[in-house]
Amino acid sequence: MILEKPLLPYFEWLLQFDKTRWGALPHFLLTLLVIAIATLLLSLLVGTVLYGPLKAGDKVYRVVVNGFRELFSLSFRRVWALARLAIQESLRGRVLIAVAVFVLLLLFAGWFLKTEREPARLYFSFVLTATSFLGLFVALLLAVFSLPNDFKSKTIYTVLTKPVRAGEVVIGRILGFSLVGTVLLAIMGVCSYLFVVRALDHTHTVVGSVLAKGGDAEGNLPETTSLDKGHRHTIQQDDDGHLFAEFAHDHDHHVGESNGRLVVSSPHETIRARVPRGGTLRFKDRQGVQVARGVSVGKEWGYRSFIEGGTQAAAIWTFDGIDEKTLHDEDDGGEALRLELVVRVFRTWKADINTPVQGVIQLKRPGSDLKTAPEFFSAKDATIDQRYFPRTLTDTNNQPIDLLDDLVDEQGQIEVVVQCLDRSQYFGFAQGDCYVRMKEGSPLWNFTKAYISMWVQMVLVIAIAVTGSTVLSGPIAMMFTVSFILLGFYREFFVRVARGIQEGGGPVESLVRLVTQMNLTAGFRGESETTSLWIMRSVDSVFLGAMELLANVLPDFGEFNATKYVAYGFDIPANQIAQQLTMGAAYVIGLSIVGYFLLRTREVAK
Amino acid sequence: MNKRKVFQRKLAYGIAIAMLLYPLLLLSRPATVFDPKGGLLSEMRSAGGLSQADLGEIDPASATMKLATLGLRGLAVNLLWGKADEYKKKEDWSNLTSTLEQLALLQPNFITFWKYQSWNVSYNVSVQFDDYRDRYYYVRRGMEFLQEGIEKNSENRDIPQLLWDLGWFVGQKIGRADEVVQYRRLFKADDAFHGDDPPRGSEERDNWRVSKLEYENAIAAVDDRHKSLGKKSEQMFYASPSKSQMSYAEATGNEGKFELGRAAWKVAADGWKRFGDLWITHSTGRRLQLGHEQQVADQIALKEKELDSLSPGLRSKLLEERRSTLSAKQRAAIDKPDNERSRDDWNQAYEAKELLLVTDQDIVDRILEKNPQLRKQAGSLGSEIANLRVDLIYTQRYKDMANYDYWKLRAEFEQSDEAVKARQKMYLAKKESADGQSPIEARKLYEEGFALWRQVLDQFPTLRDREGTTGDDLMVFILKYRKVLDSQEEPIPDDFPLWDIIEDFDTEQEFVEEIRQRKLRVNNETSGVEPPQAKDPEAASQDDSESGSPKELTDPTGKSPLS
Repeated sequence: MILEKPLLPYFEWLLQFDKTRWGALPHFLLTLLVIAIATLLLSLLVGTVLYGPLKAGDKVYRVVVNGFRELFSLSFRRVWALARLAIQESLRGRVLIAVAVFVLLLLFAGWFLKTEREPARLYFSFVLTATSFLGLFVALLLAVFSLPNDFKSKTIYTVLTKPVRAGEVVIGRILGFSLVGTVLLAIMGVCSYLFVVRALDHTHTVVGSVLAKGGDAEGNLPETTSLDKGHRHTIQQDDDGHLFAEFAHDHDHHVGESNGRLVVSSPHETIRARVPRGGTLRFKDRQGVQVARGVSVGKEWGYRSFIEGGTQAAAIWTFDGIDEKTLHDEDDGGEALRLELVVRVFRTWKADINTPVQGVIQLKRPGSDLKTAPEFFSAKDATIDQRYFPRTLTDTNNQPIDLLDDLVDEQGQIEVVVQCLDRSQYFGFAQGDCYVRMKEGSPLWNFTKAYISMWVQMVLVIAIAVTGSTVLSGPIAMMFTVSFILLGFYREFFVRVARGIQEGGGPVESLVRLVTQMNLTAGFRGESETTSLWIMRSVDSVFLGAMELLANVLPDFGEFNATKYVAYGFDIPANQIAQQLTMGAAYVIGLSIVGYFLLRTREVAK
Repeated sequence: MNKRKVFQRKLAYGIAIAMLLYPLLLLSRPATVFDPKGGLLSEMRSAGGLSQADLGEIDPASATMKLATLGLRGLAVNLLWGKADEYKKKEDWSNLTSTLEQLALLQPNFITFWKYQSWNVSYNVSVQFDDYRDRYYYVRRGMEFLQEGIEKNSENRDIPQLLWDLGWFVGQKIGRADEVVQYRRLFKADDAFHGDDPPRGSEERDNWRVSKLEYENAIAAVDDRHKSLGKKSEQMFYASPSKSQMSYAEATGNEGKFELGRAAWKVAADGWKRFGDLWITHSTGRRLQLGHEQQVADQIALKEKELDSLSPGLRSKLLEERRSTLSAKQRAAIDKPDNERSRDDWNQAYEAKELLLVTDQDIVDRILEKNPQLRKQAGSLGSEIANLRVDLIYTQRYKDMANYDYWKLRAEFEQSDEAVKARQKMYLAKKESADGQSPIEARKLYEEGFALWRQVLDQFPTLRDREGTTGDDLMVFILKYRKVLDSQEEPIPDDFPLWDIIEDFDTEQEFVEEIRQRKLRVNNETSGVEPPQAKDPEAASQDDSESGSPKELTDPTGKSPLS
């Protein structure tokens, strides 16, 4: 699976505080502090203009003190009552229509989805993306119009004459809508899972009867299965004489026998949750010198770098924490280390079309010359290739060695060395292309984890929408939230624009380029600093500054997307879910505080 | 505000709305049974072939997608194209193809989309894979994508372009690839592409046959259904089916099915003749027939005769006049035989030739000057000849571009018994020598085959033209033959029947040394001196130093280092 940004360990992510990076917690506290000070100063300024400095100071002081007092005297009973109100309101708004739309979508999904070589990838991508968008949309509609409608219909007066606090109104809404959203997501999740399982399940027919699996009267085996779901399998026989349908379209089948006819089973392992343990990757160049990266073969995407065949160039992974528990029990009673390797082949000349490029893989003890005897393999381009290393191995001198005792060093580390053998052909690798395969996770739990990510995303949208709707009217609050979501999804681009890395300049410059149909990278005529250019750039720099500030509080919605993991059949790391939950909680807390103060600015809530 | 005023205002609004509805009606009235033309938009739609005219043709998925974008189709399309590019960059082929499917639903009538993205899949995505079966899968995906485009645009005016592209993909991408052997085998066995018709094992599943069929569909769309050819050259467009037929004949021959190949060449010859008879529009708008160059030339000769008969002897008189204007040097140069001319003589002769050129226009001008009563006749003859000459030049150019004469000859000679037999021998020889098991048998077969080729070349001397590809084909056999000889440590014999081909077609310079050695031997034989040993490295290096050619260019085996 492609992981362009490695996942940081949880505590490093949360607490790191140095020049290179600020962890999530320091970042959160700083943002809160900056917003608090800015708001205080602004309120003082406005207050001074309206009431004079003394009275303004007094008012601001009272609001802040009251705010803190209310914050610590929140009553869960009142919050729950308000949440129930929100739930009732949502049900009256026929929120269940969303479920109907979703089911409808699934019913007709077959129209849009063609059976692919990796059907699971496509189906998971589809259901998860569809749920995510629909979920966000429903959450948005629910949350954004609720408070403004209350203001409009004056029901807010009835609520606020009861002994409830403004903070409880905000938190109650967020809680209520989140609960409704949770139920919705749960329903959608169950439907999605059933849809995928059902869509992937299929069988084939095999023409011709078989006598005791040894073939027909002439001893011939049928060659292939029938063509179903856009593919067919070649039928093979294993060493024990059992028939199976060879791996194709990401799965294989057993071929059994029933009443003298061959019966193809349901597909195996169409949905998976591989648990990988990643290592760190370094390279050696053709002279055997350590380098950070291999060579570039001229691909636009620099994710992988390449090693040259027939030279000393090698890709070396170092894995941590290799012990008894990492090994798998094998069918033959022994234990083995399972490695999975993805090789990207790049040929500089055609060579023999029918023969794959050859490579060699070895295990090595870090900091020593002890290596296993070379294991040769034919590179299967861009597919996950499994390699087994049993506990007892032989070294390069053909002496027996033990995997754990001899090859793993005191720190529990082991190295995997991969080389390409064919001259002038190349192998390409990225860090994630080789990993130690741990015991398989549960696909259902993995799917649930993907939904948890989505749930956090939805709660975030609800919090933003409720906060926005405390002061804005319905449609405006909706625009506000939608912009937040859009910017959140394109956060990376937004930050690049704000920092001036993206070609095309700031908002004014790109508008000028758009209107004059100018290329993104073309220089302005003459490149001399004319007044108009100066004005344009100055205005832009103000915008860019504001954008950079905004970028600091913008949630990265893309990060909440765990679709990739599920679609590619990898287990979502618990660490990632923990990071997302933490982030979600931080936003909800921050937004509730902001929402409380904003609501207090409304006449009724004072 | 009283009630009357309110009523008046409502009335005014009502009238304004009704008046505004009228232009709307003119614009967007739909086509119905009673009003098949419909409003302006409807007319434009059907003129551009942009709508599914029949309700049954509407693709529900496509219509749903378009509606679901709530008028933001352009934006959605833009985003998806961007995504497709991103997926391609990041080698996410599953998502790339599914994005293309979504785009196909959003812009099914945009021809460039189909052309661009099918090419993308067949040509750019396929080559990213290392296993040829994976490559073939994406080549086919691209072709299927084109088929889908064709299906959705059957009424589009630009449909011939898609049909032609499909013909090209099926023909060239499969039949001219490095993996041609594997691709052709996979294509024939590909049930997903062919379905049940034609059935497995049928010769109609040959990629060149399918390609020809698609080209013919494209032509039918232009000729019968009057669809637009776009910017495609007519010469290339109409030649395509026959070219595919010839490639088919060639491929079957290469695979050892000689009688099938002969029959295919016959069909190809007929097709090529029909192509020659076809009136083709040149890019300037002139109508030409590639197979009728001689007739145009004859017509010109006839008209020139007619022109000459208006004023007999005028042409030779003019020539005499011109001759008298030449300088003494020029005259001397032009009278000298070619092999006696010096470099300066050549220049002089060239200038003289230019001066001596009497064009038809010169004759016409002179007639107008001397005999004004013949003005009408001479003038019209003059312009007719000029016109015919332009036709002739354009015809010749188009013929050159299509290599018309070569293919005509090729289709003809490949049907001859000698050629078929010669090819058979070559095929068998290649088979015998393939695993290096029976080089003696292979050599015998090669030699018999080359003798037959000699007969073919004598029968069809124009095959030796450097423009054609037969010489290159023969070179491939000769190279293999030399390999067989090398294994027996023997040089190519002096009486090898195809030395002329080696001399003319050794573009890769593989035989430089052999040709030189042979020339030396032949010259020495005629002068009665003992020839140097062909394979003696010392003698060879001595020759080099004498002839002054750089030493490193020759090696003792006589092969060029380039090989």
